[in-house]
Amino acid sequence: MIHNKETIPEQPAPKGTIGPIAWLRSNLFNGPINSLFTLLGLYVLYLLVVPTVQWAFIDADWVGSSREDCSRVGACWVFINARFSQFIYGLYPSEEYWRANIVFAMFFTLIAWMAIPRLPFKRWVAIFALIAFPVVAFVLLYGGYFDLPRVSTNRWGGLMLTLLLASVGMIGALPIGIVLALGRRSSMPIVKSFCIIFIEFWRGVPLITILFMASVMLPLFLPSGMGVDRLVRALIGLTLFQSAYMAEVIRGGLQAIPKGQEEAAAALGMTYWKRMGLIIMPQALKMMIPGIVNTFISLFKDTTLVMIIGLFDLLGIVQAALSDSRWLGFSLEGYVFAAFMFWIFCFSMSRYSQYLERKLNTGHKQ
Amino acid sequence: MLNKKYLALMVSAGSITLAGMSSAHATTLEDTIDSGEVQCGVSDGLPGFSAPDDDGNWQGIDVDVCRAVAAAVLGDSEAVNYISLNAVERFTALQSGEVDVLSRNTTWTTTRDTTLGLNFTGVTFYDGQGFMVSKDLGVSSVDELDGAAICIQSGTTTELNLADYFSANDMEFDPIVFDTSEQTVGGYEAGRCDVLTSDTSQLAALRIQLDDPEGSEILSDVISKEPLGPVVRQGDDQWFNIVKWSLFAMMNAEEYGVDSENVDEMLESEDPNIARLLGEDGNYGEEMGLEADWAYQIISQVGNYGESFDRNVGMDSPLEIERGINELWTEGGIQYAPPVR
Amino acid sequence: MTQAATNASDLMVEMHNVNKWFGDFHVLRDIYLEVKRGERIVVCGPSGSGKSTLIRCINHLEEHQKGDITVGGVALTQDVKRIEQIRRSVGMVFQHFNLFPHLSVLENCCIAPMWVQKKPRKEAEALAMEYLERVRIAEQATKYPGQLSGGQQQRVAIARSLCMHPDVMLFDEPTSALDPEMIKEVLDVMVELIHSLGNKAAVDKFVIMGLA
Repeated sequence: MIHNKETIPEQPAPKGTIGPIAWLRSNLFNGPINSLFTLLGLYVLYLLVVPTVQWAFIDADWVGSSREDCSRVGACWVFINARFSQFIYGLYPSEEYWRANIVFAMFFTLIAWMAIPRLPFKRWVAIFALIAFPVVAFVLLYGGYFDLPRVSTNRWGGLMLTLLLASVGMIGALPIGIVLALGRRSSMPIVKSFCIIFIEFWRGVPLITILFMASVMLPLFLPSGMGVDRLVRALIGLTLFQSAYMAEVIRGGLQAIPKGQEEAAAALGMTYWKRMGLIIMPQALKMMIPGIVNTFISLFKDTTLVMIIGLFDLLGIVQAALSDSRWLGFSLEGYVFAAFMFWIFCFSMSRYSQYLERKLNTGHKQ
Repeated sequence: MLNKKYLALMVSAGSITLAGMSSAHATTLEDTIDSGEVQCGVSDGLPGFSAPDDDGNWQGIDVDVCRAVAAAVLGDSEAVNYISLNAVERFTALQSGEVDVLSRNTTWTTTRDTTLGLNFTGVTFYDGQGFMVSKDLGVSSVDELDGAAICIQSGTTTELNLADYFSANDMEFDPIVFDTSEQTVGGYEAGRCDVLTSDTSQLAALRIQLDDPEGSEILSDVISKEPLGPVVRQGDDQWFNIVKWSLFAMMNAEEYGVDSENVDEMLESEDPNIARLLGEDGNYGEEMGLEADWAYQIISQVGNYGESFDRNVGMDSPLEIERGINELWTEGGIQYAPPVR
Repeated sequence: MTQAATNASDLMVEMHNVNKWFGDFHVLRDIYLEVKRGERIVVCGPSGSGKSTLIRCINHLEEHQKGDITVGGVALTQDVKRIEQIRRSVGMVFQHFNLFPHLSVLENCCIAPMWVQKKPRKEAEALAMEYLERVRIAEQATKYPGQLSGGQQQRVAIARSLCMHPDVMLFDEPTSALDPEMIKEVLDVMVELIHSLGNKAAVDKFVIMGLA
């Protein structure tokens, strides 16, 4: 029986069921055991956070130029300040910083342009980024042309080097990985065996071993005087290593595409490369984004291994700075800084990948 | 499948390799002058010996050796390409030609001198295993350490030398063993032992990092021999001489009282030793393939041995290592350079 | 495709002595089939009898081990070029539609004419719209397959195949995956096509009873 002829007016919810108090009650204090854990957790946080904040901010020294400006009570950020440009540029000569700055600016602009959705001409920007930018960056950073003094790759370091290694590694590993994945699924036995051997070799050997071999063994095999630049060695080793992992991520994505897609494309008369490029890969890549970004993040962190072959990436340059006899004893500050820098980049990549996934999923609505 | 194309490929690959090898017969001196830089192998950061400073320039007593060679050969002590090497690759980098001088606090031993195809050109720093004690202990020599608790890192030659020395001198000690060097230092700081032992150059670096550096001192006694010096490849005697005499020039300069401040005045000196050293007399530079003012360039741009020592590891540096046996023979140490004559 | 003016050219699909094994299982045994231009063939049979396999051999989605298949005068061999040539003139509609989910309905129909037949975009789109209207689904042209019902998707699939102007159309159990309400709309479309376009069709079984 319907008793009301009019709609009942809206009323606010009872006080105890919404708002922060209610959230606390239902999530943190909803039972004796949970309440105990909550209190325990808060206590642990108090034990950890308060001294950390004390050390890192309250007692810390921010301004100065040498170790005398640091009381040893709090963090000595003076050290970071004094060596900051070294951490960014490595041993690059300071009068040539402008060249590196141009490359940095172009790099971040290109990334932002590709990442922000509304900006136009993405295709042209991508082509520029992949073809013209590397050449421009190389000429600017290395020099030797247009009257720019040459800066040997030994002096490239810091964040600049880390970004360089990571970008080249990523841009190289993705296409090579795609080719390897396709090759591994191929029905031609030679291609398939080669791809399997290649992938399993590079996945089976630790990156550190590869870098060691490149730096120690390679010079012995080459005729004396003919050297492959150490940075090039590192780049090749990193790229090939990552491409093997990328290949498996991609193969996983390809396997997830129903066979019918390929059959339908084939039935329409598309050749192998057209099927792959127009139908299979676009679908597969969307699915592989978590895997690919994961590989990229791990590559970004793997670049620190080039310390082994004497290249001063972000972590390496911090370590080298710690060995200056004027700054002995501040390893904690140095490593905290390095960790923080890495975290910024890795976290940003991870957030961007989540955003990408959300954006690309709207087109599917399966 | 042996067909013409394959054969031709093999032959050309072979001849390219041979051509590459034959062109390596240019001497290291010629290559260095061509490239305009001395290829110098240094460490990846060792306080006092080779480490980059705030401005990105390499500093250290090992670095100064390379700078001296550059000053002598190219007239410019900054014309050095520093290549950072870790302990594993340092010798292969020198053998393969990636670097021409390895100045990386390398200990001179028979094995290294004979089996690796390398030559040591001299000793930059006579290091050795020493002892760091708390000043409160009131001890001034290692012989007073009978029965002391000593922090050591397990599995190192440090541990072995210590055991050998103490048993040879009928002394005993109480070993407090740790796994890593950080733990070892931590143990000393925490007061679990009275004495810390390691190479004296390392001890100097560790002392600065203590909470109370002034409370500890490094004893002057040394119980092992670690002569550290620059290394070059065998087979190029001219280059060997150049590196050797660059270091000797610095020591001779200190002996004759020539330093970077007064070297210009010293050009007028009546002392025949100084005149020969600075190239005012004789053609000793030419005999090595260098300019006559080779030593002058070294001293004016890099300084003499004492200046280099003081500013990098000595009393003008944070490490504050005593000259000790690294003094010149005229001052009671063992650094002795043959005369330029 | 140019054709010699002989009687043989009236044969669109010829299968002589075709045998296929899946491993040890002999699924197609000595198949003999001739489909003339304008003919419509229905292949019926119990499940597992090899109907799909037979149809899929025609455009080489399955490979026959013995015998000859000729489509439109072109012999079907291992030669990739031949296979592609045959596939360009054979259209296929699948049991599970197999529309491309990352493309819109219109793009699904345009992609093959543009990339395989190298038609310019405008022409391909006009062609696609024409066939989409023919299957009565033109209003969904900008939607994505994920937003359509099964019946609608299958009609798009039919239009997609037709856009290539094939000489032979293959329907592999086109209504098996559909709900009963949607089967009729698809069948209607197929019947109308068969009558109006005069295409050859080797069609798999019509399941629904009451079909006119």
